[in-house]
Amino acid sequence: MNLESEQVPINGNVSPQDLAPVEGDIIIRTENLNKYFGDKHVLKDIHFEVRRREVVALIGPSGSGKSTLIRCLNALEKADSGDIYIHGERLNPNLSVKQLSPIRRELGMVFQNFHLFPHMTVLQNVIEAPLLVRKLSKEQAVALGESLLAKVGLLEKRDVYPSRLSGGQKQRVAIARALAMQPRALLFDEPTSALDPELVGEVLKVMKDLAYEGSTMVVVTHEMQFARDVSDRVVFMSDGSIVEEGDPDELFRHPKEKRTQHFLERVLSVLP
Amino acid sequence: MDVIWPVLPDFLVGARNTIFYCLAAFPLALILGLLLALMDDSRFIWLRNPARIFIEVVRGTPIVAQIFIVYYGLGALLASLHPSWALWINNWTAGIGTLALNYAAYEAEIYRAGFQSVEKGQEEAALSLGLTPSQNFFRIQLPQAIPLMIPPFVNDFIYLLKDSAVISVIAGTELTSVLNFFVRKNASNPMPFFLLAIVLYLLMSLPVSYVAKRLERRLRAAL
Repeated sequence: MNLESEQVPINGNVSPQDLAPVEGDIIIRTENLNKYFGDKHVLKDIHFEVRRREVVALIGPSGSGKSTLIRCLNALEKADSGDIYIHGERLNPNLSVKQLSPIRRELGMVFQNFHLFPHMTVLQNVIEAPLLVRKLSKEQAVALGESLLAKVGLLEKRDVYPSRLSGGQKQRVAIARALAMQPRALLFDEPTSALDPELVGEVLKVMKDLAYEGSTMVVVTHEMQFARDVSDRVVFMSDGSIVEEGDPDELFRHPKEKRTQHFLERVLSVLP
Repeated sequence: MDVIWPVLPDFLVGARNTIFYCLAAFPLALILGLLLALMDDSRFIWLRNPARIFIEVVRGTPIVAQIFIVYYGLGALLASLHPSWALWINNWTAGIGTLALNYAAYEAEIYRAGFQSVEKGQEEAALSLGLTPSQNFFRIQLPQAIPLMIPPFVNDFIYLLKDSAVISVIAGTELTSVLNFFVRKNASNPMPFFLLAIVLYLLMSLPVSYVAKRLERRLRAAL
């Protein structure tokens, strides 16, 4: 039963895969998802599933549809056909923006370019949605915001405006802002691609901590090391299709498909 | 100077009325302009088209023609519907109404440009957090757009101060109509009156443009 499976204490020795895969544990599922940009078929019959506490890395060449896929999950892009289920509930892309709001808050989104609100302080950025959408009291929201800022190591920046932050700090605030809605899963859209190389590490560290705490995460990334070390499953996309997916070690060491092999050869050869 | 002192009180009344006209018309223009901008941005064609047509017609025709249409045309129309309704149209209502409608079209364009310059990602971030469209508008879009819109708004207010002279053609009392009156009365020596009016217009507009310049510098620094 669902309830009982949720009560299973998760200790360090039990990996998420060992838990019984009951229906309620599927946070995200897509069936036959198709998306076109004009004539371009950018998502081709995508079947994609994310379980609770799972960390999925989406990798693949630019333009392969990775970002489009996670943007469809949040209805930032409208899929042309197929179904999306968020925690069992079908996402109807034709709903009005207002009707989409309760579904969207189930998934937290972290963008490549942060998109912090520049007219608000760091703390206001984090507590705005909890105040407006979750209707927390001011005290509750501030307490929540401060604890999340402490978690990403930026509590001392609480009253600073985003323009005063480095890229890495901005992205950590953006992660805290997404967490403040207590979403069922976090979607990361190339979270380190806009950062200077020396700032990538601090963001990946926060994401790693979240993964080890058992957060459900979907990460579109070009950081192969991160995909390999942190994710439970790697999904390789190319040309709008999921070409191959599986255990990270297995996929990186023994890719089955030609396209995966080519891609990995290319990106891994540039690694130190 | 001897010619100026006796007429100065009349000119000051004219200047005061010019300020009244503008202070009444401009807030109306800001509200109507926002309405027009929102209609223009609507998903619905029956909101978009009327807004677009209104904006293009107003911007494409002289304000003198517009004030005649409001004062005489609208007056006649209302009179034909109900005789007492014609009383609604007087120098004040027609003057303020015309200025407000005319400037609304220009302010709508300023709103539009302001909202367009807010980064698209801001809306995506707001919606992905579950904010509703109105929360997104009032909490995220508007506060970011307003600083960009203030300098052009202030600029338009200065134009309005000068454009309000058009009210003199429907015999409303403001600075230019006072000027016209004394110029006609002293046709042999009109120059002092012209100079007086120019000085008064400058005294009204210079402080505003000074404030605008300072605001602009402050807002630039904040960005």
